[in-house]
Amino acid sequence: MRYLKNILLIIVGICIISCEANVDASDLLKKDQLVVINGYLSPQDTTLKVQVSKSKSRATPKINNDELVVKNATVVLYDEEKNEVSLVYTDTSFNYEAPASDLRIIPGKKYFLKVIVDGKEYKASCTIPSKKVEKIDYKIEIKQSEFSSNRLLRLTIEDIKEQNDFYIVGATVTKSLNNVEVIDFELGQFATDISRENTIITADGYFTIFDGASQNSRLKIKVANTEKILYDALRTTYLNDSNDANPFSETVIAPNNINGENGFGVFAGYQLTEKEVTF
Amino acid sequence: MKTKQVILAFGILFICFNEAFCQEKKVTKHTISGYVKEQGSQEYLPTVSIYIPESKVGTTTNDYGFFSLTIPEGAHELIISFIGYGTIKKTIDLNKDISINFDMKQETENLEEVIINTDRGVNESQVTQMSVTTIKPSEIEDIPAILGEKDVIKALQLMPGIQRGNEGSAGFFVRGGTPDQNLIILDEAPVYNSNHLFGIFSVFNGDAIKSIETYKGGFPARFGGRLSSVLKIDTKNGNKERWSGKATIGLISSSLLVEGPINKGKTSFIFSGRRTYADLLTKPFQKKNYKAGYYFMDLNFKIHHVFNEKNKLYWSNYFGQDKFNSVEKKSGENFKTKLFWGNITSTLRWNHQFSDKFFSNTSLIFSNYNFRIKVDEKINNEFFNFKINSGINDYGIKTDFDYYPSPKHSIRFGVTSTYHNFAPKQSKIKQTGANDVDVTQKIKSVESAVYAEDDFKITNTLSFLPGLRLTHFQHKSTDYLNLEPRATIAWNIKPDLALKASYSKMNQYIHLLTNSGIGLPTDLWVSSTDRLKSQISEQYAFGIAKDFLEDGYSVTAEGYYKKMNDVISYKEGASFLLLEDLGTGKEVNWEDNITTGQGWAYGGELLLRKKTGKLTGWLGYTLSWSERQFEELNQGKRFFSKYDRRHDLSLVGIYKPSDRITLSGSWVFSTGNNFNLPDKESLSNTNNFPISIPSLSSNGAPFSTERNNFRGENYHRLDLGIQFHKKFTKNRECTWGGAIYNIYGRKNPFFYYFDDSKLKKVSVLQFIPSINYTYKF
Repeated sequence: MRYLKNILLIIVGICIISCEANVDASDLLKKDQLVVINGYLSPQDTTLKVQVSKSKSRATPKINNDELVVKNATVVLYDEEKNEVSLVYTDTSFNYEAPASDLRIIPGKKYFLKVIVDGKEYKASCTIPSKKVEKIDYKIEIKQSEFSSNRLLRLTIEDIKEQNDFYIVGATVTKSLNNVEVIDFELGQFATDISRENTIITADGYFTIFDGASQNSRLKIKVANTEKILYDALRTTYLNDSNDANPFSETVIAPNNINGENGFGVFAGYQLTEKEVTF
Repeated sequence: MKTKQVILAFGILFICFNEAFCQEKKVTKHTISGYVKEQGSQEYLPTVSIYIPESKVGTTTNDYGFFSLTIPEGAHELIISFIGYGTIKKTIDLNKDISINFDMKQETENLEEVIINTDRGVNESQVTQMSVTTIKPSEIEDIPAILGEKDVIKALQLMPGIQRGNEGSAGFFVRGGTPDQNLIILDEAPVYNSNHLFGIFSVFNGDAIKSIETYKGGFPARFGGRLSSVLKIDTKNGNKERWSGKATIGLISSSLLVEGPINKGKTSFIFSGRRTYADLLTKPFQKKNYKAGYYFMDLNFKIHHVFNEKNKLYWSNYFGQDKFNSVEKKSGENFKTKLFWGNITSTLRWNHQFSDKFFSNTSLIFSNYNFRIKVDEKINNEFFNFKINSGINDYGIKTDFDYYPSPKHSIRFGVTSTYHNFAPKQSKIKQTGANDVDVTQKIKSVESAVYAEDDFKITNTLSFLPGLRLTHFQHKSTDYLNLEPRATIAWNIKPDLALKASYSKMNQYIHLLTNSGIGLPTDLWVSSTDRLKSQISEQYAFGIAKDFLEDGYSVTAEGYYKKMNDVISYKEGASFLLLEDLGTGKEVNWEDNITTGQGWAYGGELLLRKKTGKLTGWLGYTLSWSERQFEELNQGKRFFSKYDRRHDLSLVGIYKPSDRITLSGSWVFSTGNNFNLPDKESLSNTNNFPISIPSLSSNGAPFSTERNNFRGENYHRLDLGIQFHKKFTKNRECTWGGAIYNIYGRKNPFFYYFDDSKLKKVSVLQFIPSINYTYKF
């Protein structure tokens, strides 16, 4: 897609006279402020986390995360048996948190979220995927990318059988204590087996190993089997970020399953599989 | 209203009217038939009025200039009239069937005497058809155009109900529809991509065009296959009497038209070509290690042969292409990119006149659209090549019959069938150290239809145009069979004032997958499949048409309501071809990336037009709403479509004070377009997920919660043009033309984005002057 985008931009640039101007957006943009709630649950978590913040218009000056966070909310998680846990705001992470041991997250079970902000109640529910990815293979090849990277990591994931799955993959390479590279799989980070049931899922990402570097680099692979809404939400963030200010691409509308006045965000479940190797 | 009920209602109405009004006394009748041609070129003239004032009956010529009128024997005065041509009056003593041809002489349009009298003819109030917009090629010549490129579609965009898309775009939106819902027919062949240069120009080079008709509603049964409009463009046949031509030199392109007799009076040809030359002009200034170029071209070629008065052959061809290429060379590195797309159409038509009342045309039709990207990269000893193309090949056959049993009935019926061969995606990738990737998707389908319609003059004041089209579509073992009733009724309260109403149902089996909405060549055409049904629309329209025949003015006002079902759209986040998957060779089915929903479009249109005199032009106003709802988009909520515009106003004036000068101007105003703008941000939703997304450029994730959540600023622009004509002997003429597009430099929005906490607007095409020179011989 990058080739096409570049070509389009060059041609349009050559052929038309364009100019850019600041716009007084005060009358054009909607001014509603949303309560943004994001919480993802997994049986592999050690801490239960929910983030509660408020949205701001992009046409207003930037502010710190600290000012966006809602710190005085009431956040409660509970399961179908009415076991519940209240989460407490933590300054360092901007999250409402509780130890995972306070509420057992079980695959296939349904969980509920209740948040109260300024007297208004927001509710959502999620279901933890019943299975997680069991088999992850990898291959590292010496290969030059179009940028400076010189290693290709090809991940192969065995699809969870007989159901539609939504995978998010990631990997890091630790070359030394302070040298950790996050591998970029681009849009291949998001993969689904829809219409390709029981297939092998692959994702390719590039990283760099400098000549003469340590031979004991560590590769940590993570694969999450997520609820569709979580997959859609994070993929939307990726797409909107990479296509920001591109006139030839439509903005993707972020999904929402938070019920309540001006509530927005995603409460969803996932299962995480990790694999760590030295190469 | 259900289809069956509508058919039943029409049926009953038809029978009742037949019973009530067709009890005529038996008198001896004879038929006058023939052709109307242009004097000097022998070009057949469509929609010419043949009228007998005494008995108040008349007819019009069909697309091939043929007419037939069956009237009682005796002496009759015929009036043959057509705007822009001198009226012919002829008295005939009819005592047997006669065949007669008329040659009409073109008049200088600015002469007042050209105003047709109170003849029955093709005026809005005097035809049954409604929601049709006609524009003459000569008007397109006179309307100021961007960079001097006279453009059919840009001119049509100035008409009510036909809206432009983004700034400069040649895509058009009719009554809340989308560009893919417009059936564009060039000499019977469908044209799939009507854009050059990413939509800034259309593929229709005005030089070779004879007639342009656009149907926005009340569709006659002979047309089908698209939901929102039919744009019918017919090219000239070529001058059968003498060689003539026209050469134009413009700022970005030049064009040439040559026409003449191959066998005088029998066979003629016409050739026209246009090519841009920015690539040639910039070549000397480019660096040695980087060269890039872009051009587009159009070629039209047509041969017309008259075997005899009853058999004629037409062979029309169009070839158009856009091509971009770039070559970059560095030490050890070599990058080549080619991008091209274009249409080819070819139509072979045979006119056969069975009798003086029965006419037929049979067409063999080929239409091709192809889009290709080719990239070759070589870095040291490693190579990467990819080719990708998508396209369509259509092979069609069509036979239309025109039958004129009496002045009260003009019956048309016919059959058509098209074999569609779509290749939504064909890609090949070769790269060092990797397996070759070869992905091909093909869709083959057959679309057929039979139709019948009758323009029935029930009384002198009431006419009814019922029609029925039966469509069949086959893809593999899946069949779709749909009935499309159509009807228009017109009631003349006064000879020059008519009330009209229409209903039409349409099915569309061919779909365009687009997520840009601006007519990029990358938009994909696909057909219905076993998983994807046809898109369906039902449109109700009502209107009033008033002609001020003495002054050459006409006014039409129409209201419409259109409901669309099973319209398609990409799902959220789905995109063209999913190129990202090509890297790994994963095949993704396009059907998985689309979703279907409903659409509503409603509004009103007003057109005040002055057709004759020194000053001609029109004022058009559209008030409209266009909404969509998809279960999988916008969280299932109804939303306004991208080009939903509340107000759209256009004012066009062409002033010819003498035959040496033409002044023209157009002013347009419209409510702003809707944009999908990620206008909010908060803490990133990726923060608490254990897998990081490395390429995110910012912490605060921008998002929007509603589709088309932002309405841009209002659009307006004034274009002015001037032409100086100089006439020489032997019909030679030269014209200097100049135009300024967006003369007051209005910064109309092309798109918006946020940067540094500010909303920014990018505007294009401000104050674009142009000049051109035309020589006719």
